[in-house]
Amino acid sequence: MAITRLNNNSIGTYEEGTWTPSFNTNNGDANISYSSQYGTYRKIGRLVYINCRISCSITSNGTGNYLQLEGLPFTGVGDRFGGFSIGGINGCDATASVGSATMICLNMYNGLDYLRFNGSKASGGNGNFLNPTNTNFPTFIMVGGVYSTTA
Amino acid sequence: MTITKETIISQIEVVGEFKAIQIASDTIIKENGIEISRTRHRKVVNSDQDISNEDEEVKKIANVVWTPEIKTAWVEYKESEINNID
Repeated sequence: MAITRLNNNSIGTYEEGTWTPSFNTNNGDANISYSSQYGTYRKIGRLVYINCRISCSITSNGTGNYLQLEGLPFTGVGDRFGGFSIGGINGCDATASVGSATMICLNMYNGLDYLRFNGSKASGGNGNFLNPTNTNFPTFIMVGGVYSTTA
Repeated sequence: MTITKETIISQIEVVGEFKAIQIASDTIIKENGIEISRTRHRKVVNSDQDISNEDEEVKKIANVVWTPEIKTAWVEYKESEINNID
């Protein structure tokens, strides 16, 4: 459903729909079989609210160094703007990539249409990206969040 | 009563410095020719992705906007953007 309002005091456009979430590495060569890929979005003006769920089995982690959640419905605007919450995740050990990682985060970067997994820890938490070779891809994940896009 | 289902490309947008193509596809259900349901699916394709399975209209646009310079700049940008984080 898409609605466009022309009044300057309105919220602009509203749109809702689906998208297809997937995992891959930055080299795009992971081999993954999906049993479930489901994503929804609601775009209000420049804000995009997303939810998704993936169930899968991993045949090959590929050769890339970064674990990514791909398929976002719109490109992002702004480095590390937006927030994403992982409601559940299986099969992915953050500490194998980032020692003493206490939680797994998802980072949005300007102009990109995917999120990168980051292992957050007590200090020096930025740039600690999860490497699929060490960490393995999740076999299940639920994610919700919001980010900014172009108008 | 005749129920039909069709999927159309409802919107194609070229956005950003690196000419990402945002694609909206609508699935339309009609009863006796009257639309009774429409749902939208979205995705984004960039110049380093395989678009061989995309709609011909998307391919035509990609061939125009994804110049060799754009393709090179996009690949360089992706890694520089990630590595630029403090």
